[in-house]
Amino acid sequence: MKRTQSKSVSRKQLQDLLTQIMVPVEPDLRFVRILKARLVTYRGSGMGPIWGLAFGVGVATVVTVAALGLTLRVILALLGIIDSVSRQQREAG
Amino acid sequence: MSEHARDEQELVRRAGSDAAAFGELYERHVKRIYNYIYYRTGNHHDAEDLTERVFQRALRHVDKYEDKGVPFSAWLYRIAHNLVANWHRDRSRKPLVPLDERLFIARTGGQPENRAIDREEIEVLMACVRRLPEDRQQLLILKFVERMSNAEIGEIMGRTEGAIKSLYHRTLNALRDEVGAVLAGDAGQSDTS
Repeated sequence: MKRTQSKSVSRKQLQDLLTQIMVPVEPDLRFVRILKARLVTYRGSGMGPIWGLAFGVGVATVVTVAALGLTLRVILALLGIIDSVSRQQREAG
Repeated sequence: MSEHARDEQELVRRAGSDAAAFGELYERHVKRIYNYIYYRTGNHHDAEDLTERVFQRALRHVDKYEDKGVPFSAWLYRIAHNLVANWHRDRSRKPLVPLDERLFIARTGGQPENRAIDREEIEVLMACVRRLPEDRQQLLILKFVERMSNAEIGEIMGRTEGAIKSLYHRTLNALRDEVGAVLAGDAGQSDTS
């Protein structure tokens, strides 16, 4: 395909050039590994992460409410004890 | 049916519910699909993005895959072909020529004096290739990049071996005329200068 030699290209030259130029390229191995992990580990479901997030938020909410309930009960118990002690002291005094 | 084809059929049958089976199919085909998309888009970034979408779509629909006697790769190539067509339509642009410096060095043996000439040759030829109709581009990629036979290309493209042979003949002639016209134009310009 040298321009100084000829303005036209033979079929053979063209095939040789295509053979030289159109060679396989290697994808980035990191990309290949990460994509496989996404597809195989997480089954490639686009909704997966959303459902996972919703589940996580739900669990966090339940745990928070339960923890708040427990804290409230502990505070009320402590107040009850303090009240009981102070009442006993008043009665004794 | 060959042992490999039977094995692949079994993997496809299990792939809908078995992650390992889909992983094996992915390993077998990812490089070919990536190469096809890379030569259709001309850059690695879009090739990665579209390759990911091809396999995500394949994963979503593999349980509905019907074996029609053609290789599983034909199904993947069809998905890739459709996504690349959408990609071109969305951007209303032609694919870029791969201009990765590493490719030029690899193809020219790294000789600086040859690289300037070869880069021009590559650019002229690839510009002519990307002006071809989509089916002809696909044929050249499968023929030269994937080194497939006419029969294999026929299975992928849903045509007979004879039709592929004929299309290849016409594609080379069209490409030769196109390259000749470009070179003649360039030579005319240099004569006048």
